[in-house]
Amino acid sequence: MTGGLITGAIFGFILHRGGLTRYSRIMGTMLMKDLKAMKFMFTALAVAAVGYGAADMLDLGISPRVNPYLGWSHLIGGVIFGVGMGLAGF
Amino acid sequence: MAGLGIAGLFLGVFAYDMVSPELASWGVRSFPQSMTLPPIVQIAYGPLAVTVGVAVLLMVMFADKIDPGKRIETADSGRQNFSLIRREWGWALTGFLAGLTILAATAQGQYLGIIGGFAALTAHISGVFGHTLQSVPMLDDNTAWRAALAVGLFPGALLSAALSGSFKNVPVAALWDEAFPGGMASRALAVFTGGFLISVGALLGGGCTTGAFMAGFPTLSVGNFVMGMTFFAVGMMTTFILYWGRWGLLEKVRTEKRLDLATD
Repeated sequence: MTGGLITGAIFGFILHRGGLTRYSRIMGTMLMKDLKAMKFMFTALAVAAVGYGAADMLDLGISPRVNPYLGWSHLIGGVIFGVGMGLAGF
Repeated sequence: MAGLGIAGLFLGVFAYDMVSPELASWGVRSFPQSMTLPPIVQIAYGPLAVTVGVAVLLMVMFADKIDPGKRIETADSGRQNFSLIRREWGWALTGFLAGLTILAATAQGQYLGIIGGFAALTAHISGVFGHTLQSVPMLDDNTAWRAALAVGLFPGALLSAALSGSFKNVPVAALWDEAFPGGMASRALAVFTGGFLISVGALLGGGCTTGAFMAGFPTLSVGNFVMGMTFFAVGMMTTFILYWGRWGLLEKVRTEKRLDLATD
């Protein structure tokens, strides 16, 4: 639980520091006017992918939890989430 | 304002919780079934994940070359002369650190997802009042970890905000204020409704921007790919409609008001 608290605090710090809590940064990426938020997210994704891949090849025993279900809910949830994201800007 | 967004998020968790037992019978979700990229393309997970990661990094470098936002950045760079403690950090450094945080969560046997964290937190708070969520029926070390993650976000972000000197309290983002009438009231409605939809959508679709996209895409889960691409496409459409015909406003507000980490 302490681990979760610390991980959350670090992540919250990074999100704010990177400008990801700025309304105009999120809107910038959504309107394709300022891609910083997009570059941030894809960099994080890439680092995690390389890390997971390397851990898998080296048998480090660190493997991510994979989304356990499949169905229309991904599409429906995506639409609902997308409207919310556009409205709120976070 | 942030409080309203969080209230929306919590309300969304309850709304999702009420419909969650019906999802299977409606045919929108099947348990337990998962589909990932490696068996489809017949390449082992490790090499494929590394390849995807490197390809995405190359794409990001290209995106950086064509990023129209750098022009705005130069325009308000007058305020960027602060020390590292006060100013906003670049995408490369923060993106890299966020990637490491995702790996650190996995190394602890957990999973980095913000909305998942809020759902777990809601479950724990409800548990105190004797109410059990149908979608999070069991409270254990894992849910406690995720709830703690959601709680931890706040001191982390507040620390960064305090260091940047941003407690001048900007209740309505300057861009919103310029674009829409009603100031506080309209923004409050958007933040609350948005928060609600974000919660419901994320719990239905299997994650938020963090859980399904940043931490979910590296698992090469097809469901996460569908979710992530859908919400970005719909999010962009929503924003384009909201700012219809005023797409240049963002650039104008950012440069005129010289917005930075502390004032936006």
